[in-house]
Amino acid sequence: MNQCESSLTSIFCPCCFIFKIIKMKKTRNIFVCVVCLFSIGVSCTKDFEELNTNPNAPQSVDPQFLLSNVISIAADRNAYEQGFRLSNYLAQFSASVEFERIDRYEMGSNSGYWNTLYRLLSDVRTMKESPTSNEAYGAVGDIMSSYMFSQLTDLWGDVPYTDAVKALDGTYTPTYATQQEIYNNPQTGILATLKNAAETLEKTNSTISGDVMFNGNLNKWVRFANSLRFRYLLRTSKNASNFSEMKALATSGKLMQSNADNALVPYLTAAPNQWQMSLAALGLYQEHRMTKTVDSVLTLWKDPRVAVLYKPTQKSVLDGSPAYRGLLNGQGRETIGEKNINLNDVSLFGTIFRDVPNGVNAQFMQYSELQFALAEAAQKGYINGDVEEFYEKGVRASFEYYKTVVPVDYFANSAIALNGTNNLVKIMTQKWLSLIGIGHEAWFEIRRTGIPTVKPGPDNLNEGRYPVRYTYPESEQATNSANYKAAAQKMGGDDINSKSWWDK
Amino acid sequence: MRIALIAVMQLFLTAAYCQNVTYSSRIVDSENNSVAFATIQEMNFNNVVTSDEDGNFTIKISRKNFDLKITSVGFEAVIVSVINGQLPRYISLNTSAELLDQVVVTALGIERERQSLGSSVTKISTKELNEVPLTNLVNSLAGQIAGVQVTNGSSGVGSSSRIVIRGENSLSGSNQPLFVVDGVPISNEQITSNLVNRGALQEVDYGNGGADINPDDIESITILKGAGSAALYGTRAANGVVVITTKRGKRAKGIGVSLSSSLTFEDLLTMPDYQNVYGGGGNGDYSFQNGIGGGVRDGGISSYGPKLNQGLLINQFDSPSVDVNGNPVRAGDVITRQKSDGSFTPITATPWVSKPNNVRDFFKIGVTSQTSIAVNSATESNNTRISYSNLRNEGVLPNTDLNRDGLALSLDQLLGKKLSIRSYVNYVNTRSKNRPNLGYGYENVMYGFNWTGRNFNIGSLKDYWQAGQVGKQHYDFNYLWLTNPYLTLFENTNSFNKNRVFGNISATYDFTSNLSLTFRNGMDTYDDRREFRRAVSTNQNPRGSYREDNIRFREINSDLLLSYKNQLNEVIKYSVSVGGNRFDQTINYTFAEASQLALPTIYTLANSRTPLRSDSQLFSKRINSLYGIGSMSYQNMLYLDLTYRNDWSSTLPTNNNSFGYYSAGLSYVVSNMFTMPNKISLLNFRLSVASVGNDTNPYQNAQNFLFNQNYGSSFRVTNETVLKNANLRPERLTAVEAGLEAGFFKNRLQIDISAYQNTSVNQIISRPISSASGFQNFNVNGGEVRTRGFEALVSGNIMKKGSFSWDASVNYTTYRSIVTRLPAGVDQFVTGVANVFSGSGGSNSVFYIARENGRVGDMYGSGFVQVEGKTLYGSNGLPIQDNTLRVLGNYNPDFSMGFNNHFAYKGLEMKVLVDWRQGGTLISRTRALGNTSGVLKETLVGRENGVIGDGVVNVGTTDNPQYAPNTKLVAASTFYNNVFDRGNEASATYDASYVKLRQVALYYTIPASFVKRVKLQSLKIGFVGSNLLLFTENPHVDPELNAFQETNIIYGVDDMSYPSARSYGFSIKTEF
Repeated sequence: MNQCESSLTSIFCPCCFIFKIIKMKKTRNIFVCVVCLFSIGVSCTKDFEELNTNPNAPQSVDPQFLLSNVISIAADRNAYEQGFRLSNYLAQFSASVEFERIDRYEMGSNSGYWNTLYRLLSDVRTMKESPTSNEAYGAVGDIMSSYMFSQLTDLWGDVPYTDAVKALDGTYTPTYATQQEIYNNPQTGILATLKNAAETLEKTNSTISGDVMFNGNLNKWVRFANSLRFRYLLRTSKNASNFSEMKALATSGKLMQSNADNALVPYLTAAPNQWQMSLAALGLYQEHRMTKTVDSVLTLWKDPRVAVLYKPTQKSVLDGSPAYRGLLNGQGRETIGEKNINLNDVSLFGTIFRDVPNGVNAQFMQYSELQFALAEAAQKGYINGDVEEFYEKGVRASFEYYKTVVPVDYFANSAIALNGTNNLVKIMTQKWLSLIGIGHEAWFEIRRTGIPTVKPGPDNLNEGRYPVRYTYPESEQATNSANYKAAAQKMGGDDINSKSWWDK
Repeated sequence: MRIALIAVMQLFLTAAYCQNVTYSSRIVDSENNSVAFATIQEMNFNNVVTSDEDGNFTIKISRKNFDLKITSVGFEAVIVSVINGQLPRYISLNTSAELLDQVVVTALGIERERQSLGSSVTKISTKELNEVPLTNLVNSLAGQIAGVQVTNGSSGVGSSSRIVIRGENSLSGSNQPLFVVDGVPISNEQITSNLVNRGALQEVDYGNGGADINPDDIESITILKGAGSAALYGTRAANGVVVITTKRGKRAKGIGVSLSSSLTFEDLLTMPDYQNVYGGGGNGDYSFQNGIGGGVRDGGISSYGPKLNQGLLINQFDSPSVDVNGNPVRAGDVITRQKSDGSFTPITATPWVSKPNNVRDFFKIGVTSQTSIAVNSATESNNTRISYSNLRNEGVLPNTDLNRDGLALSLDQLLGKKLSIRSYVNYVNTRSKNRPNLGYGYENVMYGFNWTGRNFNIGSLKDYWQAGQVGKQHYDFNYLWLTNPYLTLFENTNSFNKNRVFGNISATYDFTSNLSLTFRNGMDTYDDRREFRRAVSTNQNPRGSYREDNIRFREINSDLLLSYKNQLNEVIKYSVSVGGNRFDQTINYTFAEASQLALPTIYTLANSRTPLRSDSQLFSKRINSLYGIGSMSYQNMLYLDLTYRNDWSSTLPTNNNSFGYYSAGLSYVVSNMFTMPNKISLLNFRLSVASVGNDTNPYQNAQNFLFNQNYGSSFRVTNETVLKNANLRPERLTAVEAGLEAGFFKNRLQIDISAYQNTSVNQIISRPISSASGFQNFNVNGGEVRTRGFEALVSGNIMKKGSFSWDASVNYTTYRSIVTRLPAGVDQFVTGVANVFSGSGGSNSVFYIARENGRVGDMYGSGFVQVEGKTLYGSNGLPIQDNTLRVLGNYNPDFSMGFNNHFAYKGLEMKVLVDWRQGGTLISRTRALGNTSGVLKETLVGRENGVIGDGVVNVGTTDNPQYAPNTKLVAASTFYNNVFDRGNEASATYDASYVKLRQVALYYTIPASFVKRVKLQSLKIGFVGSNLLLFTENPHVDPELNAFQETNIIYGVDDMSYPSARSYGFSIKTEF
């Protein structure tokens, strides 16, 4: 009604104007009526608010729908775009034959993932602040946030953290936090947040819906949170002197117990939840070749998982003696041509990665990774425990995950047995293999431990160096330039060779 | 004083010797066609005659000095002053070349004398519009008008044309002018389907709405350039107004039917400059086996293969082979060639020779026919015009077309003496069986040709299914990355069918001769149904797909206008009008998609192997307005206009949804006030100031959630990426304009110049913000952009000798938009992003960034490390990439000019229009990728011996660099692959300047003596051509073309555009 009144006053002037110019008394009254009625009609705006309310989309939703979105999208991006299409080259599970230049360390900024993660972090915030939210949603949201922020800092280094996702509060150019702050800040750091979240979930009576990963089982969330915390404690262990938290976690009984606790979201048979490689151009699939690195390891181990992970070469099948063969990483198409490499005699990825839409899972973390982490920590003396037991559990879990039987003499192989020689290398190499397609975890582990040794390919575009980060998205240069410049300087240049804190 | 006395005496004398003299003349229109049934009145006397069918009349008058007033329905009234009995042999109505006394249609359909206006308007007559018949109305404005810039879409006839008047005032938004037909707005927008570059379905251009209007139905187009003349039209007019006046029925000789018809052919004007020396393959090797790497490099798609035309015989995809049963097949029929053990049947090698025209021959000669037929009739109290028009086009791309049928009816009726009704309704059906996909990816055949070896015979792909695999598996030379281009165009079709009705009805009641009331209602509504089919086995959609889009658009404008005019005394006249308007617009957009077909070749939503993907969206908007205009004139020399309008828009927050528009214009006709030197026939100064507001799109004030498709049975929602703003305010644009118009030598030479400054403040921008803030864009008011521009039109009769005449005009446009202020704390403003390169590595985008005091349209991207102006190379001989953003160029031209020439000799007329655009930068993906693949001629340099990049290398240390010239020799393939890498944009730029021979027309008017014999009233035949020649630096693509990304037109970027076409053919115009 207010609008109507205010617009009435504003038409007062034109009305007066008309009265003055209409000199003919006869028609004057008619016009006063016509004009004023008309004016009221056109200028009344009381229905505008309703008219401008978007009928196509809700203004508020229950937290469960946001939770489903956060978990499933984060899992999918992590598995396909990040794990399979990018990290597998860096970790040398796959080698490119022409187009995937990340294999030659033209890293780029990976800006799509940066945008996705911050967008999902925005969804987490909204979920936590929803009127129908509860402390369980809050804690689960914190676990997902911690995971996503760790992705951000492990991929780019210093990134917006405490200042991030605050556009709703008026912060459009967030400052960057150091990686050390992001992990270790006693109040706001990832480690502290995960600890609090696990504790909250242990004692809460609240429940959650829309949990497409653990189906609302909060115990599994507790184990996931604690296992993640162990992952990050180990990741930052080079800069740590006190391992009490790791020790406590290792004996807490609140870590993942088996593959049943794996943090994963299955791909489904129907769109849009299919493994995208099953629908991709054939050429893209063929850009992912088995590598010499993985070939040599699996051959040395005589590891039957090779039959699940890769395919025998076309040529060997035609010749009647199926065999697996890898390609050297980082070779340009000219080099492959010059060397007369027969690409028909190089293995492709296995059936689960191509021929079916639901052959693989989108994973955050497996039980096997945790066991290898415990093995490493025990080997290094950070925790107490039987290194060999952790190690074997890890290997067996990985075999179980790929539905493969561990050969009876597997652990007798001197390349596998923890016989005192190169124990750490053996643990880390088994761990590395178990991380195929789990985001960039294998790359992080190589950066952290240097195991296994991966050599840049002959045509790498990074002067023979192994890259340790992505460059910041160009959009940060454009939209957040002051903070970008400060962060780049602090990192030692916005360069793919600038090591982050835990890497140093 | 003495002269006056003599004149008075003469009057008396003439009266005294009263004797009736018979005067004869003929009334003709601007095209020298006779005007029948015109009324000729001796002024101030009741002496009236009518012209006959041929326009001839005779009138008896007793005086030697008299005035004749000639009126005819559909023409402007003319007063002819006769002195000493010298009546001209012809009296021409509605003479269009004259700038003086021209009547133009301004805001709200009000007709005004041109010289009375304070801001620049340009009128184009129907002749200028359809002399060269073009398929898109907007295109016919290209090069013709100072201050107007037109660019085309890349997908041929039916593409969107974009028109920008006086540059871009708005940092975001379309900057498109408002289109108004007979006083009522219609939509010129393109509602794009939300398809995504490199997504499952690539962009398709369905054309701009203005293209639906048949140019033959248009009497004139007036371009209101300044905010001043547009102030009365409201928010959408801030970027100028295209005022279209439709033809009305007029009294005509014969049966009143006019017919025009044209047949034109389209042929390629541009084509990427391909090399023809090396074939497909790599490292000089190639042999086909199965197109996925089973042969030698037959899985690769680059063009660094064996040298061509050397007498080599090599297995190719179309070489003869046999199937497993020994029947002859093509080598590419790999399914039938594969034996049970996995091996293949042998191939008979064929000559390895260049196919220089393989891409060119894929295109065909496009054929366009346009016919328009109109029936006129008029009486004293009504006039009627019915027209039917059609357009039939077969595109230059196989299996693409555009068909349009339009039916227009205008009916004007005088009811009694006081009430008149005017109405116009236009029904248009536009449809196509296939519009080509745009952008970068498998669905654009230009993408495929970029990766097609110069030896491949594209023509042999015509039979596009593999032997025995019809509907299941396409046939190609590469099965890893490409899709058969014929299959793309014949099976993967994007059709549409649009039914549109727009029109208006208005009633005017004249209470007295001074006071009138007009009510007008206009509607523009259409339904557009689009179908997207994708066959199985195509690369982007291996399982095929089917999608339907439905768009329902409706806009209703109702207005009421009360007008009063009078005069204070002999010399001061005034008029006042007040009125109001209600604008209602709703757009309903729905789509459903079967993302994977259950069965091949059946295109229906039920045939889906996965859950349907679908959405429906409704957008509603309303604006209520009140306005008033006051004009005052002092004699015919000084004119003052004042306007005021207030809008209430539903799209703005309720406490901020009201905003006003003010304008004032002054026109001073010096030549009517003072006696000018003989040579100056007209001198007119004008000045206008205006301040106008603008609103935004619906639903921009409150945050919403978006639906994601389910995960399994779990419903998913997510935040929008745009942060809405509940505190948006209306935008404001302030414009100041000064102009000068002058005529010399009895108006044989005319000059019209304007200078203006537009200052835009509080712009509503969906500005990109750091995505780490949780949102990627923020709707915000901000920034101040100042545009200064200058326009000039010089026209004149250059030569007139006997029956030969040459009229020419030159128009010149230049403007510069500068960001003069940014919001506090913001050092730069990203106004938009274009995705130029995709895939891993490097930068993927061009950023349009506004910096304080920077120019609007500056494009930023990444490039190579530069040391002292030289490119830095690594020890590997390859340039080192640097992802720091740098200015790549600006997409705006420095200036543009149009040269318009008309020649006439007896019955022959010729028009030649040339336009020139100087400056601006184009970032060309065609160039970048064509060099990566090796198909372009540029890549021949160094093929045999390698390339040494021009630049420096660091021969010192990282901390203490020393630079020496690069001497490292690198294989051409490696070199071009890295220089034109997808990770940088800097190496792929071109100067966008060009000169185009835009229009040529040569008409011959068949002599009346012959025409009469075949029972026609008039007959004109002509040869017409458009886009005939192009001169530009860039050898590959037309720099004038637009690119489409997602739902936006992007600027300064060539995104694998199609070749542009030249058009030539015949035109015939007749009346009977």
